[in-house]
Amino acid sequence: MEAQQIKALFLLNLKSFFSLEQIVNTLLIFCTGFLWNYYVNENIIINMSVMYFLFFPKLCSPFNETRVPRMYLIYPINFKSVVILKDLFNTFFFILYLIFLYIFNLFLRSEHYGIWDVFIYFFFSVIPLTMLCNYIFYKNYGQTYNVLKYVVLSMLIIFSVSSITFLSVKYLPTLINIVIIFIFFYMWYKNHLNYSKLIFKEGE
Amino acid sequence: MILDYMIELTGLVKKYNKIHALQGITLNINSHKIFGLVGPNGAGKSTIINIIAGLINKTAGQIKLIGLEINSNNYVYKQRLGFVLEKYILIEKLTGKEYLFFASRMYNVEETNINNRINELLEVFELSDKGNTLIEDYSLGMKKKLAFAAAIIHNPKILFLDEPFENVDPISRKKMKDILKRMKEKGATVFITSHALAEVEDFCDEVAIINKGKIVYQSETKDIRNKIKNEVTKETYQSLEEIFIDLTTDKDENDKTLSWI
Repeated sequence: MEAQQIKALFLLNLKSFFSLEQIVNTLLIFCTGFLWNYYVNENIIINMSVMYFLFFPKLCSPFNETRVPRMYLIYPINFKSVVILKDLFNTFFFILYLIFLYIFNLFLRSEHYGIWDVFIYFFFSVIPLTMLCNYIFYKNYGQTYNVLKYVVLSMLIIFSVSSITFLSVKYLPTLINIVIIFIFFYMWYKNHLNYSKLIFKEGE
Repeated sequence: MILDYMIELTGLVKKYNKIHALQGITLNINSHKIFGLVGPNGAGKSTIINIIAGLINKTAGQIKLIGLEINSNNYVYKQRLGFVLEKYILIEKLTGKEYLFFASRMYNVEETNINNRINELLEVFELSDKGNTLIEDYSLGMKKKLAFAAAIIHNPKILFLDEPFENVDPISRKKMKDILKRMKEKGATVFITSHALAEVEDFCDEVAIINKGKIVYQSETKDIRNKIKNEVTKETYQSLEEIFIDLTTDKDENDKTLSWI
């Protein structure tokens, strides 16, 4: 990939991140996160992961335009590199987002979890999960989009939900909490799946 | 190296489940040519361009562009191609200018040339005052012009244009044609799909008619009026439209009319 192409993609993602739509989304997420943090769940780690999954589909495609990924294919660029680059951008922007959120939390709470808790959780579970999902979705671009991928993804989601539910139950055993997590996961799963289907639809 | 053809399609097949969208398309197109592909809706015109663009995979067949065989793992060849696709490929949340910057960088246009080219293109297509407007606020014609500008910003050797003149005003249409003619004179090959038969006949050097995934007619446009229509009377066709209707219309269906009108 040429430096100019990286620049073009970076600027596109940057613009996407700071678009009005994204800022409004971020503010909504901040408010939801704050309210949830305050009234429902005191575990900042769970808040972070749920908000990440809520935020992920937006970061996944610039301006949430479902047709954008196909557009890359007309350019002289390796599509796999684009996906990896987007993962890096997502990670970079999400770290920025985490920092904002952490500072925000410092002001709001007298007791809080250490930043290392957040980052360790993030680096060892959310990033690998995201990368794995992307790999599953994109590695066979244009090839047969078989059922196996859905099965693997479902297993991953069930596994992640179980882990988070376990944490959630440990800290705040409420049914509402579990339901909210399921809703967020479902939203992420549905968005991501639709997005991928659009890419693969005509390639089948 | 002297190339036989700029575009070579051999036995191109595309199946969607049980539907045969393309049934062994073979086309050879030289440089310095504007080639028009016409056909009814769903005949397979856009499928050919989408396969070449890499948006969909072929089921079988061979594609050679500028002498190089292309496949899904090869993307470098796209540096020398430009595309205007049927479905707009624009990023609507960018401004026209930002999109042209994006496209020129993706095509590796030299950074020092980018500004000049963008300003020239916006000026030629009368989009200068809309350069900083979001694409989502553009009219259909403006979007088409912008897509065309992005397709030629890197001065490609082959252009694939799917309905390039649709929704475009006559003045811009003429400008687009002039640019394409100039590119042709400099050795480029232009591949156009269209429904505007008179325009294709007038503008293209060669034409092919595709119907139900097969090429049913191909000739140079100057030879259209020499094609025999009736072997007995030796009457010839008078336009591409006549040939088109003759070759793509089912005789029984042609007689069908609406019972209530």
